[in-house]
Amino acid sequence: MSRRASPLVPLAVSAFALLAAAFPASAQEVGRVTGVVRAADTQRPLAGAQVYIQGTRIGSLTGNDGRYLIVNVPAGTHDLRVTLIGYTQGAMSVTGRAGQTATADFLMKETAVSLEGIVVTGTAAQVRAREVGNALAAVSSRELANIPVTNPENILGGRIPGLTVLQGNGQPGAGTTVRIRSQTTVSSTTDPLIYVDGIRIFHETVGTQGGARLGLSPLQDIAAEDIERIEVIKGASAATLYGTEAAGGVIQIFTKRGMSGAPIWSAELTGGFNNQPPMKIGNDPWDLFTKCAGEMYGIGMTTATYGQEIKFVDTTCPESGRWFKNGPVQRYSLSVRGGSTGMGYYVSANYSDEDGTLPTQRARLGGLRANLDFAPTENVKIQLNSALAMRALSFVEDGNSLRGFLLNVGRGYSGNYLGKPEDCVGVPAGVTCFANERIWLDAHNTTRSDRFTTGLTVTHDASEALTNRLSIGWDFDQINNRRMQDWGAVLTALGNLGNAINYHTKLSIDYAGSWIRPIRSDLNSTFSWGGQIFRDQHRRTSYYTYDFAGPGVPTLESGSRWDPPTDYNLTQTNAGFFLQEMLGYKDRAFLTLGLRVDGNSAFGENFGLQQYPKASLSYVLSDHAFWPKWFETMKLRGAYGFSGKAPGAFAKLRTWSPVSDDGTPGFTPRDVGNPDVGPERTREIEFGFDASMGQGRLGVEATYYNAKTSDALVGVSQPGSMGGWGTRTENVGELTADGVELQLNAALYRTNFLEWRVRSNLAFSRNEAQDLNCQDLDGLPENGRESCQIVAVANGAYIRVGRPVPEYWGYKILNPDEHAAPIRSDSLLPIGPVMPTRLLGFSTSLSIGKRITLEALLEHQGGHYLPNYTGYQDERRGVWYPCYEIQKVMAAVKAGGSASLLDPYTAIERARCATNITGAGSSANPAGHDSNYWIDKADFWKLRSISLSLELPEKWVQRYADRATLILAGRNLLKWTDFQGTDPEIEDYQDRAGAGSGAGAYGRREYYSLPPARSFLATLRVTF
Amino acid sequence: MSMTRKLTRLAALVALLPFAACSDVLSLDVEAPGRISDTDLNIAGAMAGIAAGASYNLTSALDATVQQLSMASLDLGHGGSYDFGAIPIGIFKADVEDWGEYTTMSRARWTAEHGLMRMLEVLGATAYEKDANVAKAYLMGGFANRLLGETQCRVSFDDLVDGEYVAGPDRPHTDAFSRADSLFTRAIAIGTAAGTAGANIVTAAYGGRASIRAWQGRWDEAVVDAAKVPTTFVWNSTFSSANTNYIWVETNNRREMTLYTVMWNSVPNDPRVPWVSTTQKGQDGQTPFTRQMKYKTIDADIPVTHGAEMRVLQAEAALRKGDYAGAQGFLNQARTKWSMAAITLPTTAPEAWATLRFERYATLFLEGRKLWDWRRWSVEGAPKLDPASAGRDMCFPIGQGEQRANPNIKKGAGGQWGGCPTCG
Repeated sequence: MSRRASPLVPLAVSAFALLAAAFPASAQEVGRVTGVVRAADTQRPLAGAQVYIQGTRIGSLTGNDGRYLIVNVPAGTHDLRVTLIGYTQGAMSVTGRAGQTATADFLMKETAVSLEGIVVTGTAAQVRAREVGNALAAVSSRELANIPVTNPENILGGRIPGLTVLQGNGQPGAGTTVRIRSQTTVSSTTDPLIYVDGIRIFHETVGTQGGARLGLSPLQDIAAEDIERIEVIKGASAATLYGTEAAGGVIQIFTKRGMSGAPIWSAELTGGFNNQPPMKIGNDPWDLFTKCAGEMYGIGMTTATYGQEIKFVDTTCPESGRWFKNGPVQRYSLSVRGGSTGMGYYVSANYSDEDGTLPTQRARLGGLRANLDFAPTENVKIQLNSALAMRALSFVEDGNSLRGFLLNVGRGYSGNYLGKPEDCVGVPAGVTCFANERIWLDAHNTTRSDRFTTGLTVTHDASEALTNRLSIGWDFDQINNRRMQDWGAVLTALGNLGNAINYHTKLSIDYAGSWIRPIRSDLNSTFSWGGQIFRDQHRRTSYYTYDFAGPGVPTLESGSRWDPPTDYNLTQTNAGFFLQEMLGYKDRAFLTLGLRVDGNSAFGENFGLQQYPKASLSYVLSDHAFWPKWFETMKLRGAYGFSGKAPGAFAKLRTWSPVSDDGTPGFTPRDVGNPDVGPERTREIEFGFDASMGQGRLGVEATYYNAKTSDALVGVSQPGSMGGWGTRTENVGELTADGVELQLNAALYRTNFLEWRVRSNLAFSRNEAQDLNCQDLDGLPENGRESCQIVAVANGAYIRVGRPVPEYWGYKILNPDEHAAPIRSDSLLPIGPVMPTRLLGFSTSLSIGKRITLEALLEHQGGHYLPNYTGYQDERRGVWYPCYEIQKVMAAVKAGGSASLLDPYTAIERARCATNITGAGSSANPAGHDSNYWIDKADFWKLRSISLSLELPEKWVQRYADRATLILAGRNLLKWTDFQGTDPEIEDYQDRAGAGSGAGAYGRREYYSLPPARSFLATLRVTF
Repeated sequence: MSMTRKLTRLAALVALLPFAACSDVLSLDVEAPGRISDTDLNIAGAMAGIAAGASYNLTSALDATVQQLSMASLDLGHGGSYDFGAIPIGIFKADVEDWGEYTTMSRARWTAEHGLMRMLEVLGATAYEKDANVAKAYLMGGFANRLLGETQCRVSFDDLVDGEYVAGPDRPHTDAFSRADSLFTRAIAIGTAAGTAGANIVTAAYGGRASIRAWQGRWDEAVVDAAKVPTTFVWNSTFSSANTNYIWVETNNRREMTLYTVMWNSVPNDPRVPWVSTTQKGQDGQTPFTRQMKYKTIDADIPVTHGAEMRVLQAEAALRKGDYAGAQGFLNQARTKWSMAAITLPTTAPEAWATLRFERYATLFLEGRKLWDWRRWSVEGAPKLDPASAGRDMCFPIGQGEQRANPNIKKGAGGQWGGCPTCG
């Protein structure tokens, strides 16, 4: 396959050259400040520290040797500050003199808990961590420097306590499921809000066109190289000021910005390959027939063939004997940051091109970013951020799809395409011949997405006390999903083409002001106010045409027949304002009270506005004189607040859909409408502490939260006899959730030569539906409310009162471990939660000398279940290897053998392997085929990443660069799980996409889904 | 003025500009072209669309229901991977969410009946009484009620209580027949007044009313209506590429349902029951696949009433009176539609009824009527009863969805909600 360099590359290089030329370090410099920043205890130079003059944009970053140089320092005395995550803030007074260079060296004290770090809370004023009453969660670029991540999804997985990232599909370019804390809704999206540099972007995952069966996340549009830090705002109490839609939490991404000084260029080149590890399904020698050399066999499952070995071959099996190949990976990025007095810039470009482990899998991603900062006057700062992201993705047909790769290959002799005579030359009689490649290579699934996000933020410090900030943002993305079968395809000889285009635009106007004033010498007030308007437009059009006249690349005009196009078009607005007062006592106790008021297009005509109050308290106990010095930091915190979720756009309206009755236009019921509908409100209480000790060697952050969603939006079933309107969205539900989150940072060993750090986070969560439109049918309160809504979710999952949300239910084998005939339950029984309830992330880094660092991230997710539909569908076709033995034995029993032959097998083994081949599972036929028996625990441990970075000696690189680092890394290297499907965290996304929005989208199912590949990567990073 | 104050004012202006420029941004209305507001339908021009909508909903109900009815009555066998519960083996437990597509059938009834109320309000009484769209809506309401009555053990309607419609209690399924009779009668009257535009509607309404009156035991009135429907007449539920016939989809794009396991597999070359055998297996990977060929395209229509059906109805009426010759004559008239050779009706009751049953099943193959035939004949017993129906449920209980959502459906005897499958 030929490869051409992306046109983005020369464009980016040209743009960089122009920028670097346009913004040289000022020749009018009035003075300089230079120095070295080192760690206080080890004396190691610290790279990447921000050194700046407080209250200005004048500053610089330290280099590899810890040295910095600030130019254009005005004459006079300045407050020079240094910040670096993991260290306490450094401060020093320095005097700038025209034409002279002042020196200021810093020794930074390490801390596992930084109280001085600036965090974002939605107000205009900068807030220090010590002032915040909620748990704070952040990841900085420094932590990401040497690990193989490409976007925020990779970054966040396993690193933030309480944040779940589940990989959706193993194909390059596939998105993930991201969820913050427990689910507190039964009908709304659980995707968190996303802000990039203060601008809200469209935040929901979008499914691809049918065949690829995966989701695309907007987080994939943000390149890891551009990210300075990510803050995760967890839960309703922290997200109150973000208003309606924020109950699922907020992810704030901050990209890199310019600093005063000469341009610093950074380039990264990565090469490597993707490799598909074995799926290890029992002792299957063919690895779900992906090892396809020679004869394979399945077990006959008709009455006539039961128990016999049915031999088959695949004549299109590659010479290697395995369908999977290594897929090359190449990534490039280039950035420059710098600036001069009153301005700064960061410009970057990135391009990556990677193949999957199957032909046709390819992901090309590219992006450009320009972040410009201006300070036209001393008290006005302007930030202009623009980013362009492109994805061109090509997928293999996957999941529960007629032409799916695993659905055909993995089904052995029950695949959908038998070889034709010309495919089967030389195949002996009695051996079934397949030519699987003919079917799954016929399908072409591609996605092209483009996102442009731009934002202008003007900050005006009217005085030292009064700050105003106005942000105007616009986010546009277009996702074009295409699925095509060629003319001449084996199953659709005349071919077909489907095309779906999703457009989203989000216009945001966000104003916030803050007034800081002392009330007494020991009591300060920060009063904040603000308002936001978000205008969302969504449009989705799709077309399907088929029966082409001949070969060639078709367009939508090429077909001789068409299905009617679909066109979904919606514009919605959310507007709100907030007021907040924060009182700080002696800079150690902080009380925050706030109120958010929202209106939304989706609120019913009779509803009006929604209010979300909040209160939080932070108390830095360690600031007291009595506090022991060895116990360096102890902050107690607690917060109480509300956030919400708006109803669906049409929940309030009664509408009809246009239909065609044999060409005559007509109307059919669409939305029943509820003029009283409002948002659901989630109240959350959280409390915890942040502590550090041992000279910053040990840090602990612990949080308990308890959330309750009242007025939860429930799709209340309407009686069919009332018109068949389906469900009406009503505020009649109640859910509770709670959980514990713990994060531990420790420098286990720290010397000038060797440093070993670990960071682990642990989270337990649970939730439960308390009320789902429960009704007292018999009018006798003592009998309770007998009838509650049961919300059906896709793939056998439900939301039911008194149970986790959502949860799989099914008919269970009641004596699973007995060596006896299976006994099946008469009714559906709870099986287990859909989403993990236990998360454990464990990362470690070992630095050897000044140049070598080894890092690894291990993650565990558990407590949840996943239907293994690959196993179920293969079993019923006699091609699930773990069932071969028992099925042969059963055949022998049926042929007259002793029933005791089955004694070695447990009831659940007999049920799963369907020892009664006729009929579906039922109480009368418990050993019939039944997918209910295949909903399995999905606990897993995965070694997400491991990397070794080597900083090359200066003498090797000094002619070309200031610093060069070589990184060898691997992703998804190892997996430990008892789940028997292809992978315990993936899903056929079409199950959710097909269910649309609402509760139906919560179900997950592994269904011939390709597991994630492992990646082996080598990166050279150069700064100059 | 200080620079700071100037800049503050400038910032305020900049802040206000976008608000002023984007005044529509401040609007909290939902803009959603494509969906039609309920109030927008209150114009005369929308009446044709309301009638078409009622027809569309009947088509949708038949599309979903005929598949299940066909498997329930062994017109089709299950050979696929879709979960149809125990329908293929003839067990309809009351713990299922929506047996027999109760919601879609009810929607078809409701859109017709409530569409008529809107039509009366918009058109006024005079125009209403001679409008072909009104007649069509009555016809659709009649067929929707017939579908409910023929398939459900018990039914429920929305009742007007204190000026508001509420979900009513469960009632005998025959209440749906009474409702259908009334609706067909109005369709005939208004269709006749509408002249040419209503002519086919009137004929179809006679066909619908004939069947209803037969089910009510009013056979003499039924044959009078049936006689007004020519043998070649067909009123179809119409499908298109925009509203696809899912029996075709599931037996052509997929292989979910097969004739291999039902009696038709041994009835070759009957033009009323066309099928082809294949070498393929069903979607379950096991069951041999015999493809139905009655619906050969994605937009194949499903007959709702037709002249051949009327002839068979007349034959049954004759047979009930012991008029074997008359019954034979009507059956052979029906067969002329397919240019089939005449048959001789046996003159003993068991054989005659067996022949009549076969002729009716073939005439109405895959039209969703056979389960009702089983049910009504099983109540009457031999010789009408079909032995093939023994031990099988013959009507659908009201599903859990309706039971939960409708507080007026009370728990019945024997732990069943809303009626039991074997209740008549």
